[in-house]
Amino acid sequence: MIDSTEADSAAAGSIAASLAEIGGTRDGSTAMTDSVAVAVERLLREVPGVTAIYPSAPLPALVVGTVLATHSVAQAPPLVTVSVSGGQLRVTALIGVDAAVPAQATGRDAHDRIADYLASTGVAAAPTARVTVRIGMVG
Amino acid sequence: MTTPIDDATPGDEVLVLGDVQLRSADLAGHTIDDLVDYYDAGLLPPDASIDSSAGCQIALSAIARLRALTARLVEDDTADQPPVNESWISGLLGQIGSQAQAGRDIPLFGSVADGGLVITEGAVRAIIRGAGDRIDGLFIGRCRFAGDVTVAEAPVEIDVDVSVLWGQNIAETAALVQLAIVDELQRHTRLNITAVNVTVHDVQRLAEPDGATGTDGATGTGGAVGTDGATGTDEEGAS
Repeated sequence: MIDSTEADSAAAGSIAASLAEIGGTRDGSTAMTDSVAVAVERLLREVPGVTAIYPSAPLPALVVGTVLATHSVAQAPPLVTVSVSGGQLRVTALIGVDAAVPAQATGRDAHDRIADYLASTGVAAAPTARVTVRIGMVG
Repeated sequence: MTTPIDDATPGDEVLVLGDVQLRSADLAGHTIDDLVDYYDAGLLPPDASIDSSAGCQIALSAIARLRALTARLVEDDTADQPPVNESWISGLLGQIGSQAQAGRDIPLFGSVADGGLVITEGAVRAIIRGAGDRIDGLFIGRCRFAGDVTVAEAPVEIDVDVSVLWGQNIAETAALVQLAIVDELQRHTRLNITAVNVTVHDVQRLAEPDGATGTDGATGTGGAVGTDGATGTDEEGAS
């Protein structure tokens, strides 16, 4: 289990509350998903064997997000993609892993830590979250 | 470096957004030439779009291996010898670009639809290239998967093209790389590998007594090695 920082703990309550309000404003939902994305990115950096976290959003979204961020119109999009569909939280992370450790072991560890984190924040109390970890680089 | 749009090869998707033209999503809009320049500059100045792209990192890793191999050729070059075969290097660089693409998701557990853990084809190719690093005087070029890698436990054959340096025993080298690939893939993935077919695409000569440096046209196909350890051999030997 990951030790959550105080910031993560504070975010947890708002995440659970936000999930309960899914269907509300788009801005509120986006703030919630961004909070989860940042927290997941932070915990992934603590997973042994994870060497990189790559942007997981489709390229057009990344380009648009980066252009907006460059012009200070919006913040750069999170590396981890978090969305809500049909009341289900979907988390997708694209990672690089160290070749010295079996990639499937590192990836499984990363996946389980994300799932544990979501459960610890109460997010998993909502319809089961779908967590997908993609290994994009080994080496 | 700009990316001329008319250089696109068939099937190479180009994304145009305003004045931004992107050749390949998996190389974050960069070309292989961009990445070679970046590598040769010592990865400086840092480029976040390259450093944060899995495809670019796969390509840079392959470029580093190719550079190490060609350095051995250059070491033996002298002023009165022809340069290292540039078309051979260009061909391999072209393959690096296509091979770095993420491609299909290969399941490790769970499924893409329901969540779980997957590894991209590009990452698996990086593993295979890494296995090639264990074999002296060899560079892995194109790598293809025969079989449905998106279905867990489905039988998969792997076809790899390799270049070897003159002086290697091709049969032994092919057998070594077959075993190294199986070993690495079994360690990192759950692929059900039924065969690894190695084709020795060309033999690169180090300097010869008469000063020639270039590509030998010999092409041989290695046999398949299955998880039972059966190993085939090449018929053509360079030594």
